[in-house]
Amino acid sequence: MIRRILIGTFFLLMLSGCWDNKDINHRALPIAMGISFHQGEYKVYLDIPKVSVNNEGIDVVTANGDSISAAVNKISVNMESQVDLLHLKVIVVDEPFAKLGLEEITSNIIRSRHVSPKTMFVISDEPLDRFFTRINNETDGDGKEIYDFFQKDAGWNPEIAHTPVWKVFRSIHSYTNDVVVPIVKSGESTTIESMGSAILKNGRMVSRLNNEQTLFYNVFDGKSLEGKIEIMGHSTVQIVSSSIKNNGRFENNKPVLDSVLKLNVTILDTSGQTSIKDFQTKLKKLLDHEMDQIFQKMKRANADIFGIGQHFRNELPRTELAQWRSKYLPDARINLDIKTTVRNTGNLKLND
Amino acid sequence: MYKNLQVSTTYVLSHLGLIFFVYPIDVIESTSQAHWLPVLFGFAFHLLVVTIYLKGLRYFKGQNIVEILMERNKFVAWCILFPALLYMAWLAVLSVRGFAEVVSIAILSNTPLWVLNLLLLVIPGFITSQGMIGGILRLSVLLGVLFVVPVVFVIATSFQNADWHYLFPLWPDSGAMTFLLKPHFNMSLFAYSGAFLMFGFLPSFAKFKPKAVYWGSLVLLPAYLISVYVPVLTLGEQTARQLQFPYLFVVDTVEINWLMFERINVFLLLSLIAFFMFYISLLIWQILCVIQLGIKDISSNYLVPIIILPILIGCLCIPDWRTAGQLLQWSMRFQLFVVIVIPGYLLTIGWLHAKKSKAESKNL
Repeated sequence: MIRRILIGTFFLLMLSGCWDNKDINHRALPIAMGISFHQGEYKVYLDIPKVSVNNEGIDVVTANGDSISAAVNKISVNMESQVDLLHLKVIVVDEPFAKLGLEEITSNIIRSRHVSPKTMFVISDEPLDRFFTRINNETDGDGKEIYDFFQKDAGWNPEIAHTPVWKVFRSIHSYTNDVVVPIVKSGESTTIESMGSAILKNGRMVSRLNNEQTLFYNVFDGKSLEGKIEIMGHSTVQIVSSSIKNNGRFENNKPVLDSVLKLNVTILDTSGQTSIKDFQTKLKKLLDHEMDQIFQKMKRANADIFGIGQHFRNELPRTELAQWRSKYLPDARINLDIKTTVRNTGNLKLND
Repeated sequence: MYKNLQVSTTYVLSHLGLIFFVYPIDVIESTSQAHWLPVLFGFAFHLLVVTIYLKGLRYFKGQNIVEILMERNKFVAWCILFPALLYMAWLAVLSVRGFAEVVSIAILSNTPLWVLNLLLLVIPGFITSQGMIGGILRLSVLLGVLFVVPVVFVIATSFQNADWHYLFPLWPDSGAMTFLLKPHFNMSLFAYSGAFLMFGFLPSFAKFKPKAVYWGSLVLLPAYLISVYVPVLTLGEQTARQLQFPYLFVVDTVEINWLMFERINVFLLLSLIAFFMFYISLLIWQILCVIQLGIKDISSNYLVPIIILPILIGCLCIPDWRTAGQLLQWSMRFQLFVVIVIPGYLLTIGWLHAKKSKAESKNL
């Protein structure tokens, strides 16, 4: 019995998992990382919250390096604590870098396992130097805005694209999936200002959508919760729920996607005399028009952000699917049918 | 007394520990479409071998494989048992080394590898020497109860980002069976053949009905399918192909706002580590069985460390992940040989034995 207890105690002591462990107060846990690329050299910015009783804000540290991990390592060497990217939530890159292509850093992030694949990619509309100085202005906020801005349970809105790194990684290797990532800049009255989103094709920025178009993209993608649509000069509605059904087919050898979009909305405000019918036709017209515009943009960029090709997996053999973007997407067409239900009109009545 | 439940949990857990790591990528690499084909093929192969094995064992009521073989020609017995012994030790070396690397990549990146290897051997050794097979069987029920909730939870949530369009095309076009010739398909059989030899060792310690095993296999089939299909549905075949452990990666992409834990991967990994240790303790017990019944009845207190030591040295001799994969690929033929020959031989002598005893009873 005593021997068993001894062996048990030995295991308890030796296998506690505290091997080479660094305590949390000796770790720096950045919440955002900025990466820019100039003449073969990366510049890395790390946003590290100061850990103290009275939330003193944030430290921005920077370093240059031939690779991102080299730059991060340089920061780690020069800091008194060890940089740990485990809780990184946002990676900000500047526009020139995004246009050059994010394939390499995406695959490096996926490879390293230090950064979670749920981290978001964000493109900055201004030089990163300016962006990081301005968002960490000590007079407003606690410096964690960039973190909260993209959190679904905090500051995220349906006008903002939401694309984790693993989706970017998937789009790089996929035949039929491209992604949109949010574009932001430092704001005037708020810390961050959303500037719409960028279309990434194979990890390279090829075009951009504005805020409203991003909302419609999200609606089409099924992420529209509580999005507000403004019908110019007419009224504003809030989307309560939406569902979409797609069916792909070939017509004269050209791919056609039949989509039925069901929207459940409530009315927020109206101007002038209007009726529910009137309002439904206006909303339909607006959505048709906007979707058409996004679609044209997408075709010009040759990037399948809606994953239209996914609906043709059964029709096309793999070898053909591999040429989806170049051979079939330019001829693709969407038949969008929108069915709106006005669930309620708020406290005021509205005529049929 | 029948121990059907314990035997089926033992069967399920020891396989679960092997499924979620290299198996998915082997299947994905073996074909580019209709992945259910290699999965079902492997599973059918597994069921066939298990059926033959159990059938053979039933001819000898209550005897285990070592006793059965030793009763007959000793030379032939050792011709069968020695490769089996090598096979089990080899399995232990490869899987412990592989798993240590997984743990190192996934959670304990700072811990030296030899500690992880040691950890994955000492605890199973301790389980074996303390409980022997009775303890191991009971432990399987306990582990099942403890870990079934987190494992099922993680598996259910891993479907979060599934895009069901990736399921298509369901039917492969021409050349669908080429996966049979791919070395990766051979390697995927590892997840089917790693643990089932234990049935041969059980009969003299625990009675069970073959039904218990078949019920267990019904639990395993969805696990095999899920481990391959969740990565394919979430990432698509082209992307899943790039990854080392596709299933673990997909679990890492799951986002649950209301859960206070950031990475639910940890739940899955810790459960799988428990299952894996359980599997290793089973392997050690099988090796122990062969030595005690076949060579000399040495006390297990001495024998367990003697078994662990060469396995540990073997683990330390494998320098990297690629070598481990290559060794597995090379030895797959040998492994399949052992896996096919043992049940086949058992069935043959069982059949002869039954015929002989029938003739004897007629003569009387």
